[in-house]
Amino acid sequence: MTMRSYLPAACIVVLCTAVNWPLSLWLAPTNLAMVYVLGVVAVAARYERGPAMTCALASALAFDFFFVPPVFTLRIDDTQYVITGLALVVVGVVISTLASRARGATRAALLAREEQLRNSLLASLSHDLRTPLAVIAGSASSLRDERGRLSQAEQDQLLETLYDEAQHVSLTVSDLLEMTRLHAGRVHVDRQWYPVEELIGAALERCKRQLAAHRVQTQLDPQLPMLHVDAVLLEKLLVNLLENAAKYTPAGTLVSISVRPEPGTVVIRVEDEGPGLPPGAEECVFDKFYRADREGAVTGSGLGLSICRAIAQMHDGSIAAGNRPGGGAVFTVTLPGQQQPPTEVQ
Amino acid sequence: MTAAAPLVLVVEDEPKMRRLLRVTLESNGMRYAEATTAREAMSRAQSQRPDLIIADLGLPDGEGIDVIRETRRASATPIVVLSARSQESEKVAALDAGADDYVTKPFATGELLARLRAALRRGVPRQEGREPTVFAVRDLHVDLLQRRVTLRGVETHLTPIEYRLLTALIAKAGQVVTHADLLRAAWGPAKLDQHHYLRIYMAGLRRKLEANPAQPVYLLTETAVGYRLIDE
Repeated sequence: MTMRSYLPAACIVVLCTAVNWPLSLWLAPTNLAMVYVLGVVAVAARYERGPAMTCALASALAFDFFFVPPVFTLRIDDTQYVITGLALVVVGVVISTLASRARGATRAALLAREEQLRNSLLASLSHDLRTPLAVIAGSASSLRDERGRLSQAEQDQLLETLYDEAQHVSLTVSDLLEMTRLHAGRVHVDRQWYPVEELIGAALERCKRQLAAHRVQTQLDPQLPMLHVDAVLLEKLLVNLLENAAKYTPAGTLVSISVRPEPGTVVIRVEDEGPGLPPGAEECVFDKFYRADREGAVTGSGLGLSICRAIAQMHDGSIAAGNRPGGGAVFTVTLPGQQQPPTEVQ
Repeated sequence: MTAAAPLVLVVEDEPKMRRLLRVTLESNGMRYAEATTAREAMSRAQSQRPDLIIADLGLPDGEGIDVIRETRRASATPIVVLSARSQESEKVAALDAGADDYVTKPFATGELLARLRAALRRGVPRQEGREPTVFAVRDLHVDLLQRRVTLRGVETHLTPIEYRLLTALIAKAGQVVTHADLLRAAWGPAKLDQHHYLRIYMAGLRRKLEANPAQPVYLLTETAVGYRLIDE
């Protein structure tokens, strides 16, 4: 605790005294004590116990000195003011104790949450990095030591695996960094006006390799307004949804993005023809480290969709998951789309 | 004209990245030189006169961006920057300082080589009277003398601003052109901060040149940096 927090406490006492001075012409001293109580409560709410209790004690003394007859002495002739003064001190002690306890509880809850997050982060890290790294090391050592005995096709397969897994590690690490940045609230949202097709096109271009084996369809309503978004973040959101679709659905199936305006909003839907979400998983897919298929071949940081949700919320929008009536998953991103940019140029 | 294999100066402090680049460059018919610090990079850029410089943005003894600025002051050697994703503002700063293009780490070799080829093409000094008069890629054909744009042989009419944007992209085909450079090319220096005007006109250009503007083939978006017209 610093001595500096005692200064505002002292200031509050002086301020209350200054306020009470003119009021003392009309009000009985007991009422003036209430002004001091307000001051003590303010200090207790903002600072630690020490300054709050000092403030209470100083308030009682100032009250006695300036307002309890005989004024300008610490003498108290009327015993009722002893009670007023004592009450002032007791209020200070009780309130500052309660406030500091509440602060402690909040801090403990925060720490517990961070601890829990850190633990699941570590668990996820060890699994999600160790597995692909083991595969990378294994593939590389096979290529180095047994190249002579491997067929061309087998070598190609190992090289492909090497590349994919390295790519995956890189993605996991950037997801982790992204999530940490979003979580720490250190991301500056740089909103500008974008035609929707540009955002969709940029995301599809970045997922070109992952979606190479899928059919991709885009359906954009011709009446779409421009979106006021941070393009880097929105691209990340769309890329995560598209990569998810590519990861969890078989080659040859359709991945479609459709965008249409609704009153006050723009709705982006990413749909696939894969197995869809397990029943009841519509909400928890957005939890950190959730993975649809823990034992399966599909690997991921389990952070992709929680990053999507964080980004949607940063844009005053929302994201929801569900299954299509005909099978397959659908992710719906709703963004505000009411205002329009200042137009026409020459 | 440079007859021999082009000399590429790699400015990178990570030994493993240097080894990867050396193997990649040498196996693709380029000569390799290296520098590990900003100071070394600047002296080698002067003494060895490379045809191309690949610069990492974070160097131990100084900002990679200083290397770019210093090199650009002395020569027109093409510079390609290596940078991590989520460093968009650093990419823009590097391009403003004089870099010609960038490649995002981790990169696929094919992508890196395509960027290097585009940068080398731009770096070849143009002989007088040899300014290209035609730009052609896939189904897109632009006659720069007659100002005629055709797609699969069918003429497409562009507005003057759309045409100015297209020629600015053609002048750096294969390389990224920043928002600021495109705004300057189309409207002059008055509207440099009006990025959404640019996007509206680029959307118009895409609607005329792309079969599906939401899945562009020619005019690629480099999010938060600029646009790139493909050239191969």
